[in-house]
Amino acid sequence: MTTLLDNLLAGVIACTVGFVLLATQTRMNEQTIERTRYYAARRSQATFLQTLERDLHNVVSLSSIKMGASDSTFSFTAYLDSTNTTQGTIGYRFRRVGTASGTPIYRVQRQVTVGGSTTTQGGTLNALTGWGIEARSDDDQTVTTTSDARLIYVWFSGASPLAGLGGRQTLSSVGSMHWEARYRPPLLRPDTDI
Amino acid sequence: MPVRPAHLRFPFMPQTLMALFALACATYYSWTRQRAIVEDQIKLVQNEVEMIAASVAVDRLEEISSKSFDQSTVGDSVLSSSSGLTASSSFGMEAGDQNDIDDYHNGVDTLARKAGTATLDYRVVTTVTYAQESAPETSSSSPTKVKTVTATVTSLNVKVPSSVVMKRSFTCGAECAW
Repeated sequence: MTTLLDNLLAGVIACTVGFVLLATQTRMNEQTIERTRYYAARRSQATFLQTLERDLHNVVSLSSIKMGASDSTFSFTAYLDSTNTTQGTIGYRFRRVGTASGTPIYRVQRQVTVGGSTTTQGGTLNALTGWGIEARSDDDQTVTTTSDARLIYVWFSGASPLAGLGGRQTLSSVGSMHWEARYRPPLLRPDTDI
Repeated sequence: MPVRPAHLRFPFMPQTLMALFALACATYYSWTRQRAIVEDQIKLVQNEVEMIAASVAVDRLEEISSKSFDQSTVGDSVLSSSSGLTASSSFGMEAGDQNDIDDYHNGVDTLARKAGTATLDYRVVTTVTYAQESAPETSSSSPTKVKTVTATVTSLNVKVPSSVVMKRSFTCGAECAW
């Protein structure tokens, strides 16, 4: 009887041990995937921001005032290279690419037009949950004409570990990592000579 | 000497004891792994908070970039010598608008940023110094054609290991004709 009880108890405990190890391993795998995705998203964001900042600093004139709705493009004329005066039209096209956990997912593509030829050069991952870009006046107010624009307000949000604050933190759920800044292209200032 | 029955000899229920020992080991292993996962997650969150802090710093530096280099160059006035520039000791907010770079010196502001459904508050401390023209990373006590602005952004809601510090140098340009 004791031997039977011993085997029975040992079997139950062994199952528990197996479950604990399995759960731990699963969680570690999830964490590794989350971390990899996070740093991939972060690298992509850094590259995108670098390009965006350079483009906005090289703005010569604006063609758009505001863009936020899906499948629309914010475009402007800018110097394409700091080493010469080649100008081109740069458009940031925002479009929906699907849904995740019921939330629409978007991406932004950077389209460059030079001499009538348009190419897609860069953009974000398919991980944005929101994006907005808007020309504003010097006191950060909405403008109605591009000639009144002095700054360009940009914001976007995407997957983030912050999404899980207060609950389970995971990048696999759609989060709302947020970036917003107001860029002031020198050539949009009235006192700047070209 | 009487012999004990097998079920009363040491170890009592040996397989159960070994299984319990294995359970204790597995629990300890699981606990250490969970702790590592939580620490990792905290680092990701801190990273995110710092990223938002960087956007706050960019915002502040961009705002300053739209201002005149100095009070004496407001309105594109041209200076013929550095003596016309504001002395470092006079940096700081003047009466009226912040219309030139050094007006932001020692400015402390609190800015809010969205993070999901939460709002994070950041303290921005701005300092301005003159910098050597040949080496903008080196500050200068006397007026030069270069001012370096440092924006230090600290999260007020989430404890992060360090503040985000961003520097940018601004040159006087054609207004400083010497």
